Amino acid sequence: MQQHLGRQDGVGKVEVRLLDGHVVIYPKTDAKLDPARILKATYDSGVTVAEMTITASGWIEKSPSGGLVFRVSGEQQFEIKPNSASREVQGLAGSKGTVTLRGRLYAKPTGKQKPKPAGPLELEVLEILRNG
Amino acid sequence: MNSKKFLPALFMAWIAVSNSWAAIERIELRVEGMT
Repeated sequence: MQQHLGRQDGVGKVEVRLLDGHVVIYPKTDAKLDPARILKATYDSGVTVAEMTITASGWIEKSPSGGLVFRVSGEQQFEIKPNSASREVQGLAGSKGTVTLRGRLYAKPTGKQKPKPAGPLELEVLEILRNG
Repeated sequence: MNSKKFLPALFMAWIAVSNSWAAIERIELRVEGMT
């Protein structure tokens, strides 16, 4: 899995902790990581993803549908799933400064639901690490 | 460089710098079934 992930576009380093199934992926310098592609590549390597989180810097913007989006670059953005932490970032929508946050992009469904890694990933804000 | 060329160049430089501040720093996965 480590080699498979390491071959993905933009991936610089992959750290794997076998004991608890924790994997950390770092980008190459000036490269862009694509979480959807990483999620698919991880499934393709034969393991089940229980959870995927990102630590990223970007801007909070209002989406045309009235929700919030976290924009990481011109073409990379994630819809923010409303929760208590997202209410905290609501005030930052449209501000010029960047915000660094940690958020969950995928969690394996509980119960009998089948895992569904395809489709647009929604960001559930877990914590705001830096603001401005 | 006149202002007609300088301002677009300055804007492009600002975009490049802004984009370098915004990025995914890392992705963390919790996986099951790893051997």
